[in-house]
Amino acid sequence: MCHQTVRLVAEALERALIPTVVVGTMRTPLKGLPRILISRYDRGRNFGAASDATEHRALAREALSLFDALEPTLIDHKERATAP
Amino acid sequence: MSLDSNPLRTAWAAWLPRALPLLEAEEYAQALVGFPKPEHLPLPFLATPPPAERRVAFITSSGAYDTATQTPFLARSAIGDASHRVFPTMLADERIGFSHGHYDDQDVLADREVLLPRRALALEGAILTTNIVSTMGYAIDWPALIESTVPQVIQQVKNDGANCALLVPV
Repeated sequence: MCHQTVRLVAEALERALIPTVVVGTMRTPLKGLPRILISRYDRGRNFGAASDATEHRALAREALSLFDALEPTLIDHKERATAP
Repeated sequence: MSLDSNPLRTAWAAWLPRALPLLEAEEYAQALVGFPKPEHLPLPFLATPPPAERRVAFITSSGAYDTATQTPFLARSAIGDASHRVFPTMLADERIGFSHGHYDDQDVLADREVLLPRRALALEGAILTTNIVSTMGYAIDWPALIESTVPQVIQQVKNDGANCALLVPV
């Protein structure tokens, strides 16, 4: 539900001509949004564990880089983690 | 205009009586069967302004709020809370509380950066706008969310001068 409500906001922003990046922890509810970063971490600590400033910054950098995308882009760290 | 003229609200009002006991019992999968949703239409892809011109709105559904000036979200409500809060982006950590109830908030209470990475974003060169907009992700009243909250959020983002937005669902 939480990702779905944010999707509603993101869609409204996009329709208001404000490009969005979404940093979530679940991919399916966000499908169709233009710029998505799926964190490898659990819901509630999307940017990493407490006090892990290096990881917070790495994910912040990656999220901001999605604004440079010229086409719909998905980065899914959970998929990478489970890929064979 | 009658409330009945909103098809989503009509469908939601018809769905709620069956779902409410299940929501109160936290049987969410069963409760949300038949949950009425609007159609997701395809979005045109928008280009973002050049990096130096970007003003980034930060939007969270973590249930964050200013503990000194705002009431918490209704974390214990069976239908959640469709309202929103607006507070200064650089509000002191100790002033930011979280009322959500549907995620483990231990990490974010220890370190706000895990959900509100203000310092990390600034170190990476982002210019955040003046205010953070916060909702509680568990909001079952989608008609209220769509009719009232989302337009207010969009207006707030525009008023703050954002030309792009970073959203963090929780």
